[in-house]
Amino acid sequence: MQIAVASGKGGTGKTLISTTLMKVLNDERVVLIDADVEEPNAGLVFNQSPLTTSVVHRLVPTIDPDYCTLCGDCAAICNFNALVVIPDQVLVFNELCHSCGACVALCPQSAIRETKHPLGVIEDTLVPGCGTLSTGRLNVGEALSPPLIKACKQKAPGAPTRIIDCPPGTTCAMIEAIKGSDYCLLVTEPTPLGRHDLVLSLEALQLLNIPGGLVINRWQGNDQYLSDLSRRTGFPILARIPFSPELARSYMRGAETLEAMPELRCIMTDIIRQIKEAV
Amino acid sequence: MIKKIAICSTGSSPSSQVDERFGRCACFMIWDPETKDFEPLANPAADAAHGAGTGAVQTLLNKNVGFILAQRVGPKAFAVLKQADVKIYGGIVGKTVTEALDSYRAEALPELLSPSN
Repeated sequence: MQIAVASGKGGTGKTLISTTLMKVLNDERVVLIDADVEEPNAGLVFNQSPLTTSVVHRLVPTIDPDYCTLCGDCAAICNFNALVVIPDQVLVFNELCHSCGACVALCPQSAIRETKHPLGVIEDTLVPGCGTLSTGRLNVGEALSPPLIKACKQKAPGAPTRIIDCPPGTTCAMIEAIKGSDYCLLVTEPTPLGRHDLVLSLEALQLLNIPGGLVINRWQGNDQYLSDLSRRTGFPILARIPFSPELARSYMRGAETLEAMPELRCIMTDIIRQIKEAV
Repeated sequence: MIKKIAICSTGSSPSSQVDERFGRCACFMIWDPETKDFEPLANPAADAAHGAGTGAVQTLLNKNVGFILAQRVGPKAFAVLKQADVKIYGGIVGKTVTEALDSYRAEALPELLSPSN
């Protein structure tokens, strides 16, 4: 089973939920994939050194100047402005390239070949008693995270439970991260920004036909808007995690969240039960 | 062939205000020193998700532009323009296209020597 933990708005508690879920599942076969590759932080919670680090590449064009006639076809076909033909050469901007291969296929001189461009790494970390954490880490300066997220998600396809800690937003990165999941937890907070982005995230789930439910973090009692939204859209509210400065302080120190808020264990167990019923 | 001058503009008239942005400016007003005339060219890269700067450069190189009047130029566009030996001049904020061109011809505009965006 693949469970995505997404939010829309950043900082609502995706990583808190993902890592606590992993702890409560208490099964060494669980794999947590930190797909928030621009700022992965699930590793901070477990404080373990990675066992292995593998480099992830994607293909980018390399021009052979011996065959290139500077005709400009490659720059004209590129949808992402990754190639610029100047009077004496073709300049390639790897960070703009989406690896579509159109320039390679259409070069009349066959002067373009594809070469590997490193875009980031995947770090595998063993978390004693909890399973494996696979962290995607995008190289600084890379504009495109989806290819790395895709590579992260190919980790441990046979694991009985895979949790995907998703990037914030509802852009290509979030879509790539939640794609193919059996269930998606949307972690939200009762603030105008949290609500705004939650609505967008719900639309994304509907488009991709992924079942999901809401987890209200930093809950402070009044959640009329979220209850109405849940009723209107059919996405249930699975849990309400009360606002707790103690939990926040403990989490920031990297201390055990289940000790700072013991009822979190019950809340998580109940979330897992509801997911199993829904899937 | 004499190189042309491109002015980043918010509109397609010589009296339009200049656009500070290079890659995402609405329009390029391309001035031909031979005909002494403007040719407005909508910037096809203005709404590009990525690579607006490099796309805009390609458009201008295809038009035989050798000089650009712009205020803010990103690092990628700047690198290409440098390689292609295109000179960039700033100091155009608040001017119309015609005023910017007049200042350029009076050699009153500073050359941009590093990316500024």
